[in-house]
Amino acid sequence: MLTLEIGLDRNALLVTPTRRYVQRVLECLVGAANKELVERVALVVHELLENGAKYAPAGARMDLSLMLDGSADGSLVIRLTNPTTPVHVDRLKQFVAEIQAAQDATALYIEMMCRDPFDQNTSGLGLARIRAEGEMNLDLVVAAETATIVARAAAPHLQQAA
Amino acid sequence: MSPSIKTQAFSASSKVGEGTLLTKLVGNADIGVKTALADFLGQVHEAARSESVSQVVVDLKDVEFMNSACLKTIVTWIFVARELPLANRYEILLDYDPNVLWQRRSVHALACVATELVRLQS
Repeated sequence: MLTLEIGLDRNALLVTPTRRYVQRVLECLVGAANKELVERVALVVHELLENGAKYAPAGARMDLSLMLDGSADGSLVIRLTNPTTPVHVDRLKQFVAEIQAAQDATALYIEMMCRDPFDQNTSGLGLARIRAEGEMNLDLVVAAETATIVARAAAPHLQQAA
Repeated sequence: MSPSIKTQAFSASSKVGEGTLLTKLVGNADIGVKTALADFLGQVHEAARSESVSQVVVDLKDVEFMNSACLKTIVTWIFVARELPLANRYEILLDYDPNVLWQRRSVHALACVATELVRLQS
């Protein structure tokens, strides 16, 4: 139904325009009938890109891909790949493992909001938000010093916009 | 004292009236806004204390999107407000648009951070 691949520099200024672009493309494709799915994707794309922009080294390239299959057993897969540091890879492994193990995604999200409430830096909150608000499962693939965060959700029986 | 901030993509304003401090956020709250929003909420806290208001209303309805870092600044503010003595404490009312997915889901999570302090209105 749709494969979208975007390569962009590690630049926080590109996050919001990229989110808006992806949201607009999906609105054109699947329209108002799937408004919630489109908004979930926009949220996930934003949080993934900000995570990448925050932790990739200066001058790095980030690769975002979105694959949407709206058939009867369809799925949605969003990937963000970027180089990062071994220290951040270790943090990502911890956050993703914690999120994957959570019985209640929303309870974990709220717990992570309250964890170190005066610390404005490293929280993993964006990833917990992807799971809780974006309703997507998370995986992490690490190769050398490159991390790929994969967000997946079911997307069956999507109607295309007229 | 009526705290306000304005960046290229985001603005926040406030006014005091009848025991309430009304704030309105407008625009896109991404990573570029986090520090300004944190400063604004710090000023809101000081204004709420100095004016002895019983409620601070945060109108989020015209916020296009708010990232997790900005949500965390609101959490921090809630924790700061919670540290006030009971007699000086103010309620936080989050006014949101239930038709916008991130607003509906994020404010419900924020309300769970301090159920005794945060109320929702749509």
